[in-house]
Amino acid sequence: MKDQNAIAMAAIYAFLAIAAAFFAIPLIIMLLTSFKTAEEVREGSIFFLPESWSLAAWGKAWGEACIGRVCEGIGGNFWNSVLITVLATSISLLLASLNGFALAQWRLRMSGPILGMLLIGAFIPYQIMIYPLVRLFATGGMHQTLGAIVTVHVLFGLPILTLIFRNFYIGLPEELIKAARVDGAGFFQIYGMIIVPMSVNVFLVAAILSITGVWNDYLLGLIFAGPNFQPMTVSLQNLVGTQMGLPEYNVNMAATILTALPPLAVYLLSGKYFVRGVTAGAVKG
Amino acid sequence: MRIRPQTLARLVLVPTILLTVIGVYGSILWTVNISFTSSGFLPTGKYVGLDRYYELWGQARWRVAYTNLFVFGGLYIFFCIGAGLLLAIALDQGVRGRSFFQTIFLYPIALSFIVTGLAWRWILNPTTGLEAYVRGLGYEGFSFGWLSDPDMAIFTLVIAGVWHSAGLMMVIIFAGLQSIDGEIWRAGRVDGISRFHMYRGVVLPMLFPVFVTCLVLLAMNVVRSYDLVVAMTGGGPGYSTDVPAKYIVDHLFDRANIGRASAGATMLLLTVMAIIALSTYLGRKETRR
Amino acid sequence: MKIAVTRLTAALLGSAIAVPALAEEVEVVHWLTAGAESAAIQVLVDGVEARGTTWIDLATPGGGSDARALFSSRLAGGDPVGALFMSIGPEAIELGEQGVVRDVEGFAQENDLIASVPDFALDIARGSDGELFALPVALETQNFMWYSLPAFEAAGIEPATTWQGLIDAAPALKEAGIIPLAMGAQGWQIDILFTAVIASVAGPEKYLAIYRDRDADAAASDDVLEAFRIMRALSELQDEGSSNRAWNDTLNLVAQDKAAVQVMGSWAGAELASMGETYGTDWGCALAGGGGAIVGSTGFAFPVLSENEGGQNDFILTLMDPAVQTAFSVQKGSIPARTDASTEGLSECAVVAAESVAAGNGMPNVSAVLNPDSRGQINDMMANFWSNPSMSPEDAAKTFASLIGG
Repeated sequence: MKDQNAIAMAAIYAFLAIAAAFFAIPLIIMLLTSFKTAEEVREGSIFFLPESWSLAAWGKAWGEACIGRVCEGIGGNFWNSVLITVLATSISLLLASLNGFALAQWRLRMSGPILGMLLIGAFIPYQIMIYPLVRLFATGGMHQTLGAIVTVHVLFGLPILTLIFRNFYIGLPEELIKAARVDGAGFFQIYGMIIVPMSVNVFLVAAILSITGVWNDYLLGLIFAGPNFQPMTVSLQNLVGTQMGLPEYNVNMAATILTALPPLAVYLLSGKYFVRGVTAGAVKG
Repeated sequence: MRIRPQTLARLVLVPTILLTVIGVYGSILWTVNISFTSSGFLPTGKYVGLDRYYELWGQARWRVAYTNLFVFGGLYIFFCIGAGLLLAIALDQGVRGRSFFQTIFLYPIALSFIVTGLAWRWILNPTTGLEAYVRGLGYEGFSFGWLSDPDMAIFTLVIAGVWHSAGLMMVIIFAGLQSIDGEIWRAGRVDGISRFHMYRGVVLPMLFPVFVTCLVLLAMNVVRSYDLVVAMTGGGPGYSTDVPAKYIVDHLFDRANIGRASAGATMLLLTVMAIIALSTYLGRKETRR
Repeated sequence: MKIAVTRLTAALLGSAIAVPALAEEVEVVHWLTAGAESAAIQVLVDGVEARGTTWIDLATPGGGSDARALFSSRLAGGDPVGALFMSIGPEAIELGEQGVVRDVEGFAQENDLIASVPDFALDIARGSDGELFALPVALETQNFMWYSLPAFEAAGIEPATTWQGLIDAAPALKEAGIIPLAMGAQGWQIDILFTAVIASVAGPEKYLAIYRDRDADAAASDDVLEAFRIMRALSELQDEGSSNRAWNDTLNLVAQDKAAVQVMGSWAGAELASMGETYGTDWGCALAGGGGAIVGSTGFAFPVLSENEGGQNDFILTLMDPAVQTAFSVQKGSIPARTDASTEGLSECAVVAAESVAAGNGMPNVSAVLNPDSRGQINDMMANFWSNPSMSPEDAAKTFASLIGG
């Protein structure tokens, strides 16, 4: 019996190790490549270690690589991305948690249909909404402003975030709200004093999903952000997508990792809480 | 004057409802309307009835793209949930280093599909990636050219997609497993039911709602699958890995054919609505039983 | 800095408070980005700024689709850009007929800008009432064979410049570890190869009958079938990594002598030169398969503006300045659109193309005569044929004929 268990555990570890390799290898290759020289990338296999580790590609990607006629790397748009992500995420979280609370705990007659309406919207590929939305923003005088890009992110992020909050709040005992109301607490008081403190984990999960979603967006940034608020992903695609000159894969890879670092850092730093939040019921049926 | 809490609860929904009705549903109506016109570069065409739909279905490329939605979608969802489930069960056996493994499985979800596609295109490219490497090791006969084989290229998208999303499924399913009462396990042990049979017969059926959540999250990625295809195969070889979203975007801008792009978008919308209606119906039937 | 702050405030207020323009400006959408093309654009930038107009660069290095997305979203937003780069053709006419881009005929005549531009390069931009909706800066040959001399040397054979020659040379090249045909299997690149094949097999007259006049009989002729047979044979000469490979990655194979031949437009020559490769020792060029030159007319269309038209006019005057056109083509490896512009400093390959055009063997490229949608459908079909060995040349020729005739 004991032997059998040991064999089973060994098999499980082996399976996990192989899976871990499968998941880790692409990142490792990207990292290795970014430390090579352009010459080495063209000559050698992507699986080899760099002959001499060089940080040149990283510096170039951040501040010197040419995108079009401008050779300032992709670092310049870092703060645009930060601004867009922070604004879109905070607005989405506020709206989504309020919505979730309202839909879950207030026995509104239309709550089912409203949720359904929101969720169907989440299944529409947003590519097909681009053109009409542009006209809409233009009519409102908002085309290619910070307001426009933040609004579209909120619009496309809301359905799933609302669902997450609603699913968590619906599990809270009704007595909690009832008791608070007997004590004379209003809607926002209950929300601020009871609901928010109880759902920190859910906020965290929602924030992580929202941050990665907004940060990694490309198409919306290209169309709605305009030149003044162009996010980093657009510069990345412009850099990687350039069809002229010798492709510098090491610089491309460094730029790719630089662009991916913020959401990656968010996951690595808060991964434990993310898992905890999901376990607490943030994402469930 | 104090506003009643119920009224406030309704009021906080107003911005979201307005935004969705105008932004999403307004845009959908506009798109459906344009799909009945002859619009080219600009949405200014005359009404031509269902012509654009006949054109659309007359095109081999659209039919391939539409079929791929189901091929890619089905495989992607199946393998994401399958891999997520296996990983979650493995981690549920009290292994050491659990959060280490979880972090590794989960990090790809932080990367965009563009990055995912670029990385995997590199690895699977026969001349620069895996195939060349293994041949370089001396296994000259080794061949892994799926990326350039029109029949197999769609599966490379599945590999990259699963790599990206399986970790999230693992976390969600793992959370589901953790929420299962220890009593159930104890009862199973007392009855002498093997772990395998416990999972198959008792635990997994209990996780049904969790799988629905996974399905919803993944299905959203499938319908919106654009970035991954563009970054990885560009829809090729030929148009063998084309998907509706890419067909639509190509025709919206590159092909200057807003009319047919809108017809494609409308077809996609109808498909999504049909699937939602079907699953709601099946779901009801399930609960009634 | 102050302007940035004003813009930020305006943006935050979510309103379209126009920042007062200090001088005339022109916003230019193009995708001539890195390398030699960038140098060519710089010639235009310098010219425009010398006239006191500020150039606002709206480059989309991702290419034409991004540029169109940007252009039409700005248009839908009621704030059109000043100039749109394009390969001139039906697209310009469609935009013109919709009243979106300017008829520049009057302005061009007044300033004597187009007298020496070949008729065909203007005809492809004319509306039904003779309006002129775009102006060309350069003519670009798209059917060059770029070959690596060291690659052929390594195989011990002479450079092959005919299709059959290349097919025959393939075994020797493969023997020497060289890819006979460097190919980036994307729709547009495959179509470039196909038009090169059909131009050499069928000749200029039939080429025009097929693409310009969309003559169903010409499209169903044996020459087309022959062209597809050659395509099938050529498709077996590529390497495994061709799928979805960008053209510059592909050209790199020729530059590194890993591949023998690539069929690509004149822009490739400029790239080879900027990679530090020397014409005559590292590489050579020839019109592909010995056909006439297929030329695209590269230029700009000019959206109707409510303000800043002065900046747009400065741009047009610069664009059509003969000295600017020569300097542009020297950088880009093309031919100036104005025949009275100097040909000094043009590349050897550009001279070959210019001679072919002068001898009356020039043909307009596909984007000059077919609308983007028809072109796109042909690209799709071509890409499918190329990557799918089970599709026979006979079937492909039949589909092609129906796409042309239909």
